[in-house]
Amino acid sequence: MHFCRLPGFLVRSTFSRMVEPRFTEELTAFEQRKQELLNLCESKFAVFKGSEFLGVFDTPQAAYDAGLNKWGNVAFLIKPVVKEEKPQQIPALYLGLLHAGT
Amino acid sequence: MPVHNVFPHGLPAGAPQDLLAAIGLLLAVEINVPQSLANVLTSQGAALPQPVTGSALVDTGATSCCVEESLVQGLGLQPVGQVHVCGQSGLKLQNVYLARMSFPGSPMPTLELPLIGVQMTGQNLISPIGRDVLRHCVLVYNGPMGSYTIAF
Repeated sequence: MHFCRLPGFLVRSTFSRMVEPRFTEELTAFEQRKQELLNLCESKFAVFKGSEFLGVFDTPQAAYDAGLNKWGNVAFLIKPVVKEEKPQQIPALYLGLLHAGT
Repeated sequence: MPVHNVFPHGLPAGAPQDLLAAIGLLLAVEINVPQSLANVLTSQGAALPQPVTGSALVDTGATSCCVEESLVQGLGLQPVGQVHVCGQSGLKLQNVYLARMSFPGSPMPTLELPLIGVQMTGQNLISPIGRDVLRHCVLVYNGPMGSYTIAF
């Protein structure tokens, strides 16, 4: 078991690498259609690659399958159609409280 | 409704309730490429990546499931989004991947869901399981018995 790790060590290892922003073109395309999508299909999942809009799907899996079929195994954006995406909360991770006794 | 009762075992000696309190709600987990990607790779005659196995921690404080990012990158998965995660020094941008998650040795169903890629180097866990999965479950923490139950 790892009870002796200092939280600071885990905090640094968890979030030390900066993730580069990506999907800027896709997010711009989403913003241009956002109100229309909110009116028609809020809470569903829109798919974009570059400025190309593929469609809206009921689930992330369906959105992924459609994007995979269209573009193959490359990065594309699956964007929840919501007014505002709230930040994710993973307190045990960022506080360095996670450990496993296995 | 599949019911999975978990009694920690194979761990250092201790009372069951102490073990459960010490290690938390651990599950064996297997992370793999989505079935649709596996089908594409198979049709192309490409080798399927070996699934990644490890321990997942059921974390009722987490809004979403996560995975050690290097593992999903090793599976050849590409990001399908980015989300902000609250951290001590503000919001951090993290990649999101769609992956297939199964739970070997349990009757819990296989799920395909978005996973937040995080850096968990130096830990034995590969995936915290958050409330996006728990919203489909009944979870009972039986402290006096030193066990827990997940029913889907």
